[in-house]
Amino acid sequence: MPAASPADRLWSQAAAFGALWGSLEITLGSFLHSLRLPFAGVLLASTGTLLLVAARQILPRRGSTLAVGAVAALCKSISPGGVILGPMIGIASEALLVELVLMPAPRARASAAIAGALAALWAASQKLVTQVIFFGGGVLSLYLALLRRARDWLGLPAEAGWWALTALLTVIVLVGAAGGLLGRSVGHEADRRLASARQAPPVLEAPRA
Amino acid sequence: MPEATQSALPTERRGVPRPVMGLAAVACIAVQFPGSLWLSGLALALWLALLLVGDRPALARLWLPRFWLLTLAFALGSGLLLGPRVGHDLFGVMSREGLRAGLLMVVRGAFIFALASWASRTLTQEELQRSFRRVGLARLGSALGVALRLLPELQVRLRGPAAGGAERGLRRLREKLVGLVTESARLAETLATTAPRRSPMSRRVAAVTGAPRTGKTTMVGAIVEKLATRGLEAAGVVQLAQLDGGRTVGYELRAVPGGEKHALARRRAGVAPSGLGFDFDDEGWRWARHRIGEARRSRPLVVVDELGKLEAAGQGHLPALEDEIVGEPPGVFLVAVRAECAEAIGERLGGFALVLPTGSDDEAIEAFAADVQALAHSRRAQEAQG
Repeated sequence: MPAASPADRLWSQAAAFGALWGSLEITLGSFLHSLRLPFAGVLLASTGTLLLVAARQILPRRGSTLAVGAVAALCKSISPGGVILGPMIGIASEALLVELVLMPAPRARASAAIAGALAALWAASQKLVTQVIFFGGGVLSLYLALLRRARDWLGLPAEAGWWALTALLTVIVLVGAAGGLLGRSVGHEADRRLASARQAPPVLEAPRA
Repeated sequence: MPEATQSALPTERRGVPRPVMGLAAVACIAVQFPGSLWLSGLALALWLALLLVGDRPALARLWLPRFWLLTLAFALGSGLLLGPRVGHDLFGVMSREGLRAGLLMVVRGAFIFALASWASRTLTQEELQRSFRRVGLARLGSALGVALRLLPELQVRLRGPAAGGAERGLRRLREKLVGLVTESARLAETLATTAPRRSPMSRRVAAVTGAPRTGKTTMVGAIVEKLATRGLEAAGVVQLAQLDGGRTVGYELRAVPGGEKHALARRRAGVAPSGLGFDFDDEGWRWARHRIGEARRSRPLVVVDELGKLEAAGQGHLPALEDEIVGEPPGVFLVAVRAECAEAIGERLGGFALVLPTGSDDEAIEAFAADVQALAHSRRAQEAQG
């Protein structure tokens, strides 16, 4: 069998893992969104990072994560349902973030955790960032004004909001980091199994009588 | 029919041509740059009118009363909470400036929503893949094509049974993930090792093979002449050895047709004649690459002479053959290849469709020329079929 070129390996991995991530987005994503679960995007981003980090353990080549993200985002384009642009941008942005973080040390624990945390934070804030890009900074002022009103109505102290926000962000970061670390562990195990399968001695046929 | 293939079906005919809708979309976006509420409203009205005429189903998808009520409440809320209040403002409680900012948000949001509604219906999967090829992202297009074929099966597998008890369930989940990732990696390996046979160059290359100085260039010239009489015009480059007392002292490139010359390599002083003891001129490779690119754009037959050790290592003329050329017409390649490198180069180019060794007689050359012509015809026919 001819040896594959590096470019062929990269794009084949992009096809296989991009399809896997795309499937997860279409099935799990549709399910979570139909349940109207809050922060469904964070869970999906964490799962996506898991796959990206795992794939990078098997083929630690620059650009491979971005290629997987591009294929997965395009797979999402065929997802049934109205709004697909947001999730597509989300997938591509998450892949870009993970690619950038994994670039210096693709197999390090810290890289996996940071990549997961950033992807989850992006997923949580994507809607807000998109609104700021489309509508301008006025949206932020509006949200802050609404939060101040809510705080006043509830009679909470001024610093309570910041504590709540910090707690929320910590949970998001932890969920993302857990996805990244699990992805690293899954990727290492898969790589080990693939390597041992390659090194396994060929099965000898029994001599014919 | 699986979900994954449903939206790949072509959409129905629409009243307004797609390029017109595309241009209108760009114009509507451009009009909104100044940030004027009236201009944004005008752009939205124009786009909705176009959808009414050109794509009513896309317009129908915008019927989301709860969503629009919420956005309207958002605009009113911004009027209540934002901006300075002056005596003559609406109802005495609402800021005119705040309301304007809120309405601008709603109008722009509605426009983007309407635009996305049209775009997601208009671009089918096949069109996307074809578009990737056109803009030179053929590899991404191919990867997407493979991924889309895998989607239905993967979706079924992902809907497999859930795990049991808590701790055992977590272990089983990890095991399932490892299994999925391992299988995906194996699939990627299989795809990668079979990729050369699906190379864009696959079934496009006819090769004349032989050892150095056995008449490869002469044979290529003869084939080109025969094909020219049959209406298959060639262009490209040939690489001629410069001899001094029977010893190769350099290589020179010559354009086909025209015969324009360009230096490519000179033998290094004091180096044994191993075949790689030459100083290559980068300008020569660039010149050849440009010529080959021009030939690929304009002629049905592209000649490249010769491919040897450098090309077997992915260098030399090989990048010129592997370049992704936007809008390249269907064509075939006639290459001269050093016999000892033929296998390696063949693998890189996805295999040779036709091979003719040097030393073949006239009858074999005639038959080879006829086969090259048939190959060119079949390429054109395949391209015409899409």
